Amino acid sequence: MQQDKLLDRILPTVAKPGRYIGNEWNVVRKDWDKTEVKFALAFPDIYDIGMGHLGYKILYYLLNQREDTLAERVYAPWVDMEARMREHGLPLFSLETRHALSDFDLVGFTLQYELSYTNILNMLDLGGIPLFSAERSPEDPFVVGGGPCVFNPEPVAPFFDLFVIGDGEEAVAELVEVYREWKMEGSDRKGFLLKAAAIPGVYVPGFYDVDYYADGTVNAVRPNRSGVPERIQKRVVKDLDAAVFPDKFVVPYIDVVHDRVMLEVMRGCTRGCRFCQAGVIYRPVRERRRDTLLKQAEALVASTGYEEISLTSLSTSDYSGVEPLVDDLLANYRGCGIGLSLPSLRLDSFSVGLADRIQSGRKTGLTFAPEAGTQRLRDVINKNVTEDDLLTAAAAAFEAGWDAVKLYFMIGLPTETLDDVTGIAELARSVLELGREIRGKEGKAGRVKISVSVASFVPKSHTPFQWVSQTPLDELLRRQEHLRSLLRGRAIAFSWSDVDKSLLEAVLARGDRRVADVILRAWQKGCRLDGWSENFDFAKWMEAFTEAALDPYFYSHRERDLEEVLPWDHIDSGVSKRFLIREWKRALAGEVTPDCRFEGCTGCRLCQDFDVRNELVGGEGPSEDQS
Amino acid sequence: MKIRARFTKEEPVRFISHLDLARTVERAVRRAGLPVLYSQGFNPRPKIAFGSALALGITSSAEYVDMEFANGFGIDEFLRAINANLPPGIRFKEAKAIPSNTAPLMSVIDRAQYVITGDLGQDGVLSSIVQRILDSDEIWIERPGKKQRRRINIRPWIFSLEVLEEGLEASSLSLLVQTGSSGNVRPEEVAEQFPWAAGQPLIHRSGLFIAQGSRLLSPLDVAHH
Repeated sequence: MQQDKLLDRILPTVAKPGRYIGNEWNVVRKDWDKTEVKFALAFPDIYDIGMGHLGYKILYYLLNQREDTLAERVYAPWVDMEARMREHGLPLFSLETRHALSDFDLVGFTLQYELSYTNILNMLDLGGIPLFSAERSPEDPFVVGGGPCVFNPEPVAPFFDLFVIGDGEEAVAELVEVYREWKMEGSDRKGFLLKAAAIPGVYVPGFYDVDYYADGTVNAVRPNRSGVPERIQKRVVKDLDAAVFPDKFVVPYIDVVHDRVMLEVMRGCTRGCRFCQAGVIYRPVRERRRDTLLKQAEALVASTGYEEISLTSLSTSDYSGVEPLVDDLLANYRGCGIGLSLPSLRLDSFSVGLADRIQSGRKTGLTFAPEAGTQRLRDVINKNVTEDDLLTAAAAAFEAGWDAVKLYFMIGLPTETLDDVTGIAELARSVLELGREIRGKEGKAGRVKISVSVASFVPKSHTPFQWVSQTPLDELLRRQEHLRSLLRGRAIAFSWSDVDKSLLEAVLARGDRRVADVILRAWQKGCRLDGWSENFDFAKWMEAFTEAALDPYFYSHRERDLEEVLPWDHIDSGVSKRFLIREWKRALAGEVTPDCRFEGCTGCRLCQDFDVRNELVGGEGPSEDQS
Repeated sequence: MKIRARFTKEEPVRFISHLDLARTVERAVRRAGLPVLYSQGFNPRPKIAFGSALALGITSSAEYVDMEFANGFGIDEFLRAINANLPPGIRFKEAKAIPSNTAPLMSVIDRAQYVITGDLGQDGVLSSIVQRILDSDEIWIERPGKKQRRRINIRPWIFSLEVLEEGLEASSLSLLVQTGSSGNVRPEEVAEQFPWAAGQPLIHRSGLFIAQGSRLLSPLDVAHH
């Protein structure tokens, strides 16, 4: 009650107070005192971002389905709200019942993005939980990490009691079971962690020691007790079609990202782009059946009232049943003011055709991601797309009436030269000319607009590029400048990413356990919400590296030896290191590797070692002809 | 079928913006399965039109909305269906079927009534300031403009100002002001004239009206078949 009064006084003084009020439609509020296990789903960014995260919608539903468990949402406050909370001594609270983070039994954080790491510390601190696992007492919650970044959890390992590696649907439920058993036994914290470590996919970093060589590279990561695995294999939900999926989403009041019905049409992607971590860690490809998806759409449309359905996956035009699914959804919903969106489309005219069919409003813009400017470099990164593919797709888009095309590229990719960068500008110009020619037939050549968005490549763990050095910052800046000079003119808009942020991402993505000290120091200096440019303070981060006596360039700008023990080698994505090495060598040779969904096994070992396989609803087997 | 309805915006949704409120009501209409009509064109929008926008932080018992539906149904049925699909803090209180050519709410509403409640710390302050405002011809406030702040005299648009309660802990006053395109007073601008002791006062919108001579009509009264 006291807290509610305090909030009433604070909320009128902060921006977008709707972030903190809870009480949304479909919220689940259970009896706190009568529920055995209290699980906080903490998202290390603000509400506006966290509410769009599908993984937490699944876990929220799955945990609240259980009689014995309640799950509540917790988000990072924006800087103004944090200041007021600290001023008034208001702890970070859950939106459902406004309990402090420290009141929960298990506090989960999803690690989606490296630059959210300081938010985790800030939220623990605001929530009244000791930052380090080793400092937590029997009354404190267990802090659990999940999400893509846990495939190299080392930079944040000391702050977590345990990580769940891979798909969470089954493992999180098992974790709750183990927690209940442990509570009945009444043993100490270590007792719980030992039981948890026996769950496949659970990594308890405190049970592993890291030895370093004098030069700072890792000698070994070894268990420091018996009963825990040498390597932690990721969890894979074998039957995605049967996996639990919510029939309700919490519907926010305020504008948030991805505020719509999301149907996860498939999980995993085997296109094999060599820069892409998602393409490794979410393998194999598992598709949901159309009738399952239609049922989910029906339930969610009815329970949310959303005006849009989006088909999500890493590459939705690769979903083998995409056409009949789109047809059915259009037939069911077009008449009731409900639109359809496909956020991640392949670069071909088939995808443009799909986009054209679902487009209900103005043709605002279509996005393609050639990633690199020349065929040579696209072969290096195994982006199996040709200039012809791009021009054919762009032509189809202009023919269908689009005026604006967005092109996504990366600079700083391994082996990149200035010619490859020039290639980006040439490709953009070709698309522009094509657009002017086609739209010119309707007298609309002047409307054609090309946006070129260029990110700096960040090498990620578990990819064929995990050994490479990031391109030096001054060189990245030079290449950006080169592009800027080539892309002048009103018809082409050029945007680029902040190289300082890319450097920090590169350090955190491939850092070892010692980097935790840097994150702690940066947070102590006031770094938080680093993903937001208005808050990002590179100078403070650099001070933190200096004080921690760590060289950021050791992590970002060092080419690793293929023999080197990598800080994440004990985390097993199922894709073998031998395969990654082979892919790295093929990259250097400019050899492409086909998609194992369509052209036979490429030998990553996942299916054999984990007893899983690609599951396509269209009935396409790996060796069948796809033409 | 066109329906005009009055609804409330109370805790905790007073902290959402007008746009958020509009989206929340639209989604509730869709959840309720009410056959709302959509506009033609590139970007079909449900035919739902609100009255005067309410600033974030203000509660209200007098929000109005017009909605158009493909077919007819009973008013009780409408109220039951929509209220069963609204989150806490938003409640539809009354509604009626109106002719489809009824003038839109936005174009007719020109009076707004508010109650401001807060703590002034001492006795007598409220009534003395109220009297001072009533006695003067000019109350100048500043509003952010496109380029620079504009100074505006809001006094001509304040039609009544009345002390409801004056006490050591809580004071409240009621005010009736002009609203709409022909002149507009924001209740915060009146509240600012008082030295509230702790934080900001609570503002509640208690009525929206259409002035006809000396009479104030509710938006539900002006539309008749």
